[in-house]
This record gives sequence, structure tokens and C-alpha cells, in this order.
Amino acid sequence: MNSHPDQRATISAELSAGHLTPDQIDDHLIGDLAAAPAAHLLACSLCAERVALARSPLASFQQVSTAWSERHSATLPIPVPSERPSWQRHTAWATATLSMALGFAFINATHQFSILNTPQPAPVASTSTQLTPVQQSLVAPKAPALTETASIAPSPRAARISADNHTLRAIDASLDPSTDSPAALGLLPAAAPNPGPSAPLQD
Amino acid sequence: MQLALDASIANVPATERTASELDDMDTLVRTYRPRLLRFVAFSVGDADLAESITQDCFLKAYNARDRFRGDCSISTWLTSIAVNLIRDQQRLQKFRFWRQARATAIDITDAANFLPSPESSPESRLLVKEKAAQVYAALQNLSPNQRSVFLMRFSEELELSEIAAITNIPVNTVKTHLHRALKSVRTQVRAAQTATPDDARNPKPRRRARNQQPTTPPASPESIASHPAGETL
Repeated sequence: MNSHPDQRATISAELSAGHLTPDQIDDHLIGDLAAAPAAHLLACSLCAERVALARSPLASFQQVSTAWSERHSATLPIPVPSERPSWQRHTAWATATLSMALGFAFINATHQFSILNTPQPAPVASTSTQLTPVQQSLVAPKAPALTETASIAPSPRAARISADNHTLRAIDASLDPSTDSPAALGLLPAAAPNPGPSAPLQD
Repeated sequence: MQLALDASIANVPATERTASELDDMDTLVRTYRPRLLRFVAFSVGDADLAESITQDCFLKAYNARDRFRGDCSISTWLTSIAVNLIRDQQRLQKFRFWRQARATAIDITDAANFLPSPESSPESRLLVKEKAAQVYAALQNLSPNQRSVFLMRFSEELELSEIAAITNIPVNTVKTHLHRALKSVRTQVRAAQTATPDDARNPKPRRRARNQQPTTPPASPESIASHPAGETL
């Protein structure tokens, strides 16, 4: 190190007076000061002041850098991987999988049920075009009983449908201009299973 | 017998505490992140890069928590991981053909606005800000090793033996690095402090004179006197 002659003179004066040299001040800041200079530092207020002066910029820097890092740590989001307990994660996964499986099973069951209950073509009748509204209602997915099913296991709804069909047939027959004679209408009671409701229409 | 029992009781919880502290990532990050971020940020001089390295550091620590033997503090262990990551980063930067400009460089004057001391006067805050800026500017001229060791000692307040353990170099080498770094920083800070009043009078010529050899003569006293506003700056 090439030091200035004035500096060398100052250092030698400090040494002769027993004060700390700049290197010893550095040693003190680093934490490696020998015992004798340390003892002098405790007794000498001038050296203590010089050490404080040397420490001041470092302390300021530490203060500012700490404030900066604390501010950043407080304001920025912490990108930490979520550390949930494993049982929670497993439970969440199991619940999600079960829900999906149940959903698929429900959809599949609904599909199978609708295939089983697909309406067969209605019995061909001469008045099939006029029966269209009733058969469309039978094709609807919520219709539990269809024509064939009703014949196997008759239900009140199937009976009502058959009665409606009969009524419609009777209406068609009554409106058909080809059937002029009442004798032609007399055929209907023989074909209808429940002639009761159609009686008023025949009049 | 009682002594042996006490010793075992005293030893086991410490290990368990360390292990549980490393397992609890949230607490670990909350406790050590500010210190680690400070060290990394002022080592690399880039806020975004420091964020990334700090994050990597915690990730590495969490993944390697089983290998932590407990022969040093967690802070020391984390700092050693950070030192390795910074070294890797510096190596990467050295071999990179073109170096990206530091768009997110730390602005120390901006950082000084976060000083949490409402009771201090504006003058003292300004003084602290100036001194911190001078040290930060001096840090830029240190070698990576010197800067790292300097920050560990004067920012993180680690002991010499801890610094030696972290950096894997002998204590005497640490002392040498510290001496050189401290001397350089003190010289630069002193130069900045003596230059500051002249800078205030006539900032531009003096700043040019500091960076390069003066090509124009300094402003004459007459020219300074003809701009009385310059006196007040």
C-alpha cells in the first residue's frame, strides 16, 4: 500500500500516542481486534468516536437494506408451494374422483334406461296420422308406460291412454265423411275395450 | 444419571425443533426470507433476480431438509445455499454472450424511503440515505467474493467462523477479503463525502472529473458566483 506521507505521519503520531490506527479500526469493525488495542478503545473517547464514525455508513447501509428487504417481503406475494397436510390432499382427490365416477355412472344409467324404454312403433291403425299427438307424448323421456309396457303391466296411465286412443278413433270415425250410415258406427263398440267414455261421442 | 437424562432432554428437542422448523415451509419463509432476500439482492444487485434466487434457495432447502445435520444454524445453512446459487448465477452470467441490462436494479434511494423511523428527523433520514447510497456504490466495485463476505459480516452480522463455514474458505482468507473490502469501501465513502459539497456547487463537471480525466478546466469561482442558485443547491 502506497500511503501518502501525511497519512504515514498521522499513523505514526497515532501509534506514538497509543491511538488506534486505521487498520486497527478495520480490525475492530471486522471483529478481530487484539486485546491491547481493544483495551485502549474502551478507555479512549477519541478512538471510540473514530470507530463510531467509521461504523456509521455501514450501519446506515444495514438499516436501509433491512428496510428494503422487509418491505419487499411484506408486499410481494410469497410463491410457496402449498403445503397442505397429505391427508387433506388425498381426501380432496378421492372426493373429486368419486364425484366424477358417480356422475359418469348416473349418466350411463340414464342412458341405459332410456334405451330400454325406447318406444316401439305404435300399432298400425288406419288413423295413425291422427294419433300423432298421443304417441309423441308417449315417446317423451318421462313417460313411464308405453304401449307395449302397458299391455304387459297395465297401469292407470296406460288405461287412460288407451281410452284416449279409443276416443280419438271414435272422433275420427264420426268425422269421416265415408261413414255415412249409423251402421258403420255400430262397429265401434265391438272393437273398443271400454265403450263407456265413447258413448257420448257416438251420439 | 440425572445429568445424562437432562442432557438427552436438552438435545432431543433441539433436533426436533430444527426438523419441524424445516418442515414448516410457511414459518421458514416468513422467518428467514427478509434476511436472505437482503443478502441475495445486494449481492447480485438485481431485485427480480434476487427474488428468483431466494425462491430457489427455499425450494432447495425444503427438498434437502433431510440432509440438514443441525451442526449450524438454519440461517447459516440457508445463506450457504444462497451463496452457491449466487455463484452459479455469476458463472452463468460470465459465459453468457450478451448480458442483459439490469432493468430491475435496486434503487437505494428508493429503498431508503422504507426506513421505518417516523421519529427521526428528515435531515437524519437524508443523511442515512446518503451514507447507504455511498456504501452501495462502493459495493459495486468489489469483487464478488469480497462483496459476499462484506455483506455477510456487515449486513448479516455473521461471525468470521460462520462466514468461513459458509464460503468454504479458511478464516484467515475471510479476514483478508474483509480487510480489502472494508478498506475499499471506506476509501470510496470518504472520497464521496469529501466530494459531496463540491458536487452540490457544480455537479456536472465534478462528476465527469470523477469518472474520467478532466478535459475541461473546472468552473471558475466567478462563474459559480454568477449563479447564486448554485450556492443554495
